[in-house]
Amino acid sequence: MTTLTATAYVSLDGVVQAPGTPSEDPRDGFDLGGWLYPYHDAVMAEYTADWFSRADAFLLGRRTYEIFAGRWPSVGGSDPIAGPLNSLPKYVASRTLTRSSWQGTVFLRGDVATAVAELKAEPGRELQVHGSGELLRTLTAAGLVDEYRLWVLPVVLGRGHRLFPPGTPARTLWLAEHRVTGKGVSVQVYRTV
Amino acid sequence: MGKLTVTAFLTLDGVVRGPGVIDREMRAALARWRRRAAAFLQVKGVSDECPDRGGLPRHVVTGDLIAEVRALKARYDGELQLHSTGSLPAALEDLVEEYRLLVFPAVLGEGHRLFPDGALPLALCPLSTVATSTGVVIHEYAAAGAPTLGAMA
Repeated sequence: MTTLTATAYVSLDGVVQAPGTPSEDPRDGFDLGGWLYPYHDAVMAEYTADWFSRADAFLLGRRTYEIFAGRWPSVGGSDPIAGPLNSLPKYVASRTLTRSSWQGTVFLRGDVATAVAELKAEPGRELQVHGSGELLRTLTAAGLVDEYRLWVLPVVLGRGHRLFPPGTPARTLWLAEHRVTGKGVSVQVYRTV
Repeated sequence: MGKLTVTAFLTLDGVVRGPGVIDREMRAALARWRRRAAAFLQVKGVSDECPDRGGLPRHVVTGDLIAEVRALKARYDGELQLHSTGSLPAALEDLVEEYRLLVFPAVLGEGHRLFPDGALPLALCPLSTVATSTGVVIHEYAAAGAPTLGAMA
């Protein structure tokens, strides 16, 4: 069995849309992109590097995949994020993409939840989702996420796509780890089992 | 000049709920905040409950929310505390100086969120964040104006 982990930047009111830049995801008129910007620091970089080092493969939605594909292939393998991302398999859920020049990319066919359940049944360490809000909502609804690694940022947005929208199946989680970065980001790791 | 503080028990999806089982660390935090209260504020549909007041005044706002809260802030030196049981209207959010949020390790998928769609975008300055033995994360924040947006390098 492989553990499915999901890492996401989340506002205090649960929004996950467009943390990185103002232009990355303006769907539904979202005009508050880039809200992660003031909070990045060395602790965040250290945690991110540790989490990436545990991956055996990645599972990404189309938007996050395209952002990663535009950035990481040109970064050297000694980088703690580019190294794993460039060398390990990347499974991509997309209704539109069928080919990519980024080595190790595999497009999932058919029903995403079924395909991911099959990937989880293979032996391995972690199959990691990063960002990928829309895919993550599908995986959450299907009960496929084993661990949520949430960067809870001290900001309220009031609009935007959310990690757990209305209709998400009710469930109790277990807080496995908690830490606060120097810039006040609350690192909250929850397990579902 | 008093300040308005909001305390709420939340799920991970931001839904306001009852306190449920209160563990030792939660009890300590609630007692510490309680000692700073000068008066309690209730707003219909936002805060339908009031904790044990211990003889302190309670004000129920029924008319002009902004004007009444401003008048109460001018009247007290300590904290005007609101224990939220529903969504904060944006007009009220704009008047809050501090938030005390107790986040349970659970997702509900339905219910009133403290910060509903249409909440004012707001940066917060973390004053304290701790996790309790039962997995509740207790955040204390001061309101800090509009969020800063930018592009990650």
